[in-house]
Amino acid sequence: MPDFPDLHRAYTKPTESDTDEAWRRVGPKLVRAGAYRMRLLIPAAVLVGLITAFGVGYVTGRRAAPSDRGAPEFRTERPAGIVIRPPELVAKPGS
Amino acid sequence: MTLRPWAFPVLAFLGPSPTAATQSTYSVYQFQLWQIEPDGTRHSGGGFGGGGSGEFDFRIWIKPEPRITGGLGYRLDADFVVHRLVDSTVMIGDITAIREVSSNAEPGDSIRHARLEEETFRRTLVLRSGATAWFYPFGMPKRGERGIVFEVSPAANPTTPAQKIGFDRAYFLLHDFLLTGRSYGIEWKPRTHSLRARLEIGTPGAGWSTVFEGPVFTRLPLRVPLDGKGARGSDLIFELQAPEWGIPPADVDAVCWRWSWADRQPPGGGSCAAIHEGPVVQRLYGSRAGFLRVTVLSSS
Repeated sequence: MPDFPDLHRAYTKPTESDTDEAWRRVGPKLVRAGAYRMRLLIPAAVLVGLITAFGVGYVTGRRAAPSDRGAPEFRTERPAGIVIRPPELVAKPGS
Repeated sequence: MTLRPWAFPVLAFLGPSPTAATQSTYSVYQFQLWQIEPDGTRHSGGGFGGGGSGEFDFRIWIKPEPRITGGLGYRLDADFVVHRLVDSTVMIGDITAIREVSSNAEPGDSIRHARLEEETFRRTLVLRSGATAWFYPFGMPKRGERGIVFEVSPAANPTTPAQKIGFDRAYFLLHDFLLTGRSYGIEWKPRTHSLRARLEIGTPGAGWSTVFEGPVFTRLPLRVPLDGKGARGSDLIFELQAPEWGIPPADVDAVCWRWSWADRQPPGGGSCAAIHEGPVVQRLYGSRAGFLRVTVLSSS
């Protein structure tokens, strides 16, 4: 392949000291990047908490019965199991 | 059988019917309180009986305990007029339910503020021989719910003595029930049931024509044909109101009534008159009949 030179000859392999030097330059940046990610975790956790609280409140609100005072049927279940509805008067055979 | 609006014309003719209007001179009741369980079974909460040789009406009041009404006040007053006819009994109840919507008390003060809501109901029932009236003050409970019902039986045979059970006895029977002896009451008292009246239409200048003369019964709508002169050609409906509860018939010196049109469209009106003190004239709005002149002839 005459069009391509011997690239492995153009770029020499870094020595051990070159590698160590490179790691020394990059290492502090990696540490700083890690600390930055850790700082992001806190607001993310707060955001997740807020979303969870909103979701729980929304579901609870959806489940709660709407206020029934003033409705024709006063449906609220009482401990005794009584539901108050409009009175009725009917005829039946005597007991 | 609960009456529907279409049944009122039938009732309206009961008033002037001389046969149907013949009433027993005895009024004896038997009351039985039942508690209905969620599975549909019912248990007796005791019974009462009472009445006498007169035209007795009855009244049931209920003030349930807070555990039933969620801590807010509730009171129901059911005032029944009972007309004993030859072959049946007509019961007409005016029921008022008052419930507390909200309340608050100022600290350190004896004043308690409450916002109340009032509903009124009219319930009418025709009882044939052998049947009893069942009054569900909180409506008919559905499956899985508890409820109470008062069984009211006007004694068919006036010579049958009423079953006497003392109130103390009833209290103990009811102690474990939804209502205790302190939270409800039943009263039966004599009350004016009917009177003789003359109804005339016309104008003070052109003279009067009698359209009805005879007995009218409390809360029983009386239908009076006006030969097409009523509003929209309708007949007049005349209803005598029952005196306030507790006034002995001998002390009733005035009566009140309401009038409306048979097609149940407005307008309507009402007035009061003293017995034996001359006629009361009132304009029949919306009609060609002019005025209505009511003369109370006697309390019967």
